[in-house]
Amino acid sequence: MSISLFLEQVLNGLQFGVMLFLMSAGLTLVFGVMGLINLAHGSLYMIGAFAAAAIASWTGSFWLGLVASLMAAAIAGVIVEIVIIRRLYKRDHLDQVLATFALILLFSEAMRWIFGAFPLFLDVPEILSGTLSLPLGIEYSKYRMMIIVVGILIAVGLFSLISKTRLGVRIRAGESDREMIAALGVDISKLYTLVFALGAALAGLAGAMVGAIQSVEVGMGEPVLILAFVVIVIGGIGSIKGALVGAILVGLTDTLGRFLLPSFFKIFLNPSSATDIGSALSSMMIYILMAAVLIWKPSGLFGNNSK
Amino acid sequence: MIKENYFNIICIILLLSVPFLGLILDEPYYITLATKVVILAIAGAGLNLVLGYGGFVSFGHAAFFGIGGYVSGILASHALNYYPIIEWPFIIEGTTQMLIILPLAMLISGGFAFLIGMLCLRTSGVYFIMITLAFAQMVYYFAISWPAYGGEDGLSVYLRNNFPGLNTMDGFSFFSICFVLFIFVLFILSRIVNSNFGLALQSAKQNPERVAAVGIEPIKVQLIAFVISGAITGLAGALYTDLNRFVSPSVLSWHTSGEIMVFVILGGTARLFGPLVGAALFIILEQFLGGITENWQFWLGFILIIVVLFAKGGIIGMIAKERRNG
Amino acid sequence: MVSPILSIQNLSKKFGAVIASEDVSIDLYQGEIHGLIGPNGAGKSTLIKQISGEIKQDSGKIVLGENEISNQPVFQRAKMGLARSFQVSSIIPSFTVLENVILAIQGNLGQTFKFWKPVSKNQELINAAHGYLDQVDLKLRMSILASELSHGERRKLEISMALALEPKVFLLDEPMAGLGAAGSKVMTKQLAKLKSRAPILLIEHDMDAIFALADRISVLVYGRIIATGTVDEIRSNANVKEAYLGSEDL
Repeated sequence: MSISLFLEQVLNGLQFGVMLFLMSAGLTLVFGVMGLINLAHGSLYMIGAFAAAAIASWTGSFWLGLVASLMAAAIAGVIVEIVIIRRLYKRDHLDQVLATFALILLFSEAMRWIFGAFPLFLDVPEILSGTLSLPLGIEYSKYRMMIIVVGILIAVGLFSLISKTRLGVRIRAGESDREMIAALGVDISKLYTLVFALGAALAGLAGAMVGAIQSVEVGMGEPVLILAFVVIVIGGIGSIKGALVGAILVGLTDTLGRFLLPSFFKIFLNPSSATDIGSALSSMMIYILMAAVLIWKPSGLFGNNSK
Repeated sequence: MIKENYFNIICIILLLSVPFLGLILDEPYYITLATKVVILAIAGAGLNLVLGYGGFVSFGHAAFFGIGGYVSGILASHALNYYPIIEWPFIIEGTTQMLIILPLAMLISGGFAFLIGMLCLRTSGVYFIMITLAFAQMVYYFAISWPAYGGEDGLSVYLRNNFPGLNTMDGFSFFSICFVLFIFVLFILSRIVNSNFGLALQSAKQNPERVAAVGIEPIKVQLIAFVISGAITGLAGALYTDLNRFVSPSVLSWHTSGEIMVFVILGGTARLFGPLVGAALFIILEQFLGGITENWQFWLGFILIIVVLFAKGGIIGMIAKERRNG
Repeated sequence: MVSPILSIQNLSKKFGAVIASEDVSIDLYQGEIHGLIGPNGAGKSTLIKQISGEIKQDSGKIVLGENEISNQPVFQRAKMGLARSFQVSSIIPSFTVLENVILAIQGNLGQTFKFWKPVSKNQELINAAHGYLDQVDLKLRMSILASELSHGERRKLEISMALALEPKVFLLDEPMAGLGAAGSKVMTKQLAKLKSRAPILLIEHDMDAIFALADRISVLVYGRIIATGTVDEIRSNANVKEAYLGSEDL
């Protein structure tokens, strides 16, 4: 096993982590500001992917597809927020879970009806196909590198938004005391719709970007959603910083786990058992990580127990 | 609005009429359907203890359903293939005796519930929902990647398990076993809910602060409820494998967890017969709507949203008077 | 030297830069009602939470009888004999008055892990609950859902549940809260009777009640006890007057 192979896997872990961050940031913002647990977040990811694939194949442009994904996810987010989500803010978590679970069913079946049961494909744009030559002899996919870069830029953008803009102040205030900011005259419903749409757009973007690496199909959002939950439990609900740290941790743990564990077991077990046990264990790694974090810090790494 | 007890009796009568009809009309399909409803109702009843009465939202109950299912599948498949489960340090062979498999399934899924509960119950609210979901996912991915028992393809068990004195391959006999178990489970649950423990559990749902102030440790009460709940849902899982003579990782998916929650909600949380009504409604929708359109789950989602937003007490809430303790 | 039933020793608690409690010491002796008063923002609720176990103190000790309870969780302190009533009535809304009291009795007797016998058929618990309800004149309302009680009745239920714990110490948080003149009179009589069961640490804003009931009073201002003494001593204490300047006529 070479250093360059290992480093390539680290980069893959980062790329996975960055994509998880885009999902988790929206999820944790919505929970932090509105107190809402949203299972349909995975559907927004899926909508972004489908929009990108559809527009890209119709216009031939990946970039238009990307723009379409942002718009489609944001618009879907706004519609869903106005029609259904806002009735849930005052409800208990059970109601929110059930209603958003129902939304998953609605969105999944609607997509299946529109696009059929077969996956769509999104092609990596010409400009990003091929590999980048990195030090230590690593050849890394340009496209995946782009994802990492985009993710980091968005993380920086989000931090600036939260800490330096008026909107960011309102978001932070909303997280600490919901009733108070309403009393201070901030238009709550617009703020909430905006936050929800922002989260949706991020999810849609993640879906679109991943859509070129994996296929675009109904149900692609839920496994990612659950991972995003793991991320924000680890990072602490409501914390963007926690979402970033958690996402990178989860991304690296999962990727490196899958890469290293079977090899590790090959040291003292026969190859087929090693692969079996190694891959079974690696699929459980992130949950073990989550359990470990929770035992040590029940509110997550950067969470506070106010919710 | 009728009294809940009368409603419950009507439910039983309606339920029993289906397999009897199947028997008379020689439609074994009806019997299978009724059996499925009863088994899913047992799973829902297990969840209802913690969701309805306990007030905590476990989104990972598929883990217990699946663990029970795999215990049954693994034991039976080893017995049918004459292949011991473990040979060292001592031989453990499989079995196809229901009287051994069912209690064992309950014990093992209850045991998992204890471990998962110990970790998850230290958290509350949203954290709890998310980590129960995450743990169920862990079991799901484990089942997929463990090749010995079929992995993603699942495990077939070509014969039904044995129950003394009955031919379990006969649909009606198998239904009877499941029905009796269902009634028994409901009986046990009703005793638990109305006991000292039940008082503490339901109180902890509404006001854990007050419960602690009278010297009762809320987490301990909730953990025990979680274990009982996991065991009951595990029982249902074992029966489900027996019904289908097949088990696969899909019973462990988050989708299954969601569906079990749907049964409980549609029927009415904290209502004894809620899960039965919910499961029946779900299966009816699946059969009839599913016959009309492949996308029937769209309508399930639609109905679910309507119920959540406008009919919180579920079907029973609309029809039967609320019992004193809600 | 008689030792106190409840001894709070040098309790301190800070939240960041805010000092909630500073070196607070209070002793509660058998047979007494010890009042705790102080202007708003004095830190009374933080202090109560530290005594009941909801919050952990930064430093200091709490001793109940012979046992140090400083690190015990809330439910354990209740089992060891600390009965608390809440400023905002804390009851179980969907259960009846009788069932609420039964919950307290089963907590006290450690009978929670019984799964078979219906509560409604448990004559032992029911009779005991009748007794405790009788003592607060709530027996006639025992089949009413707690959510349907009037405010004054809820305050009575709080006391009844505290009684059901057969405690060594009562920690009562503003039992008069929200009661009108008539209700306060009734509650005052009730609390006077309570004294014979166990000593009471009584947190109150209602000065008439405090002066009528308390044997001794401690005054909490900005997290510190500025004076402890008999009713007359406190009434004539210059520091106390200053702390309350304009807010109460002592």
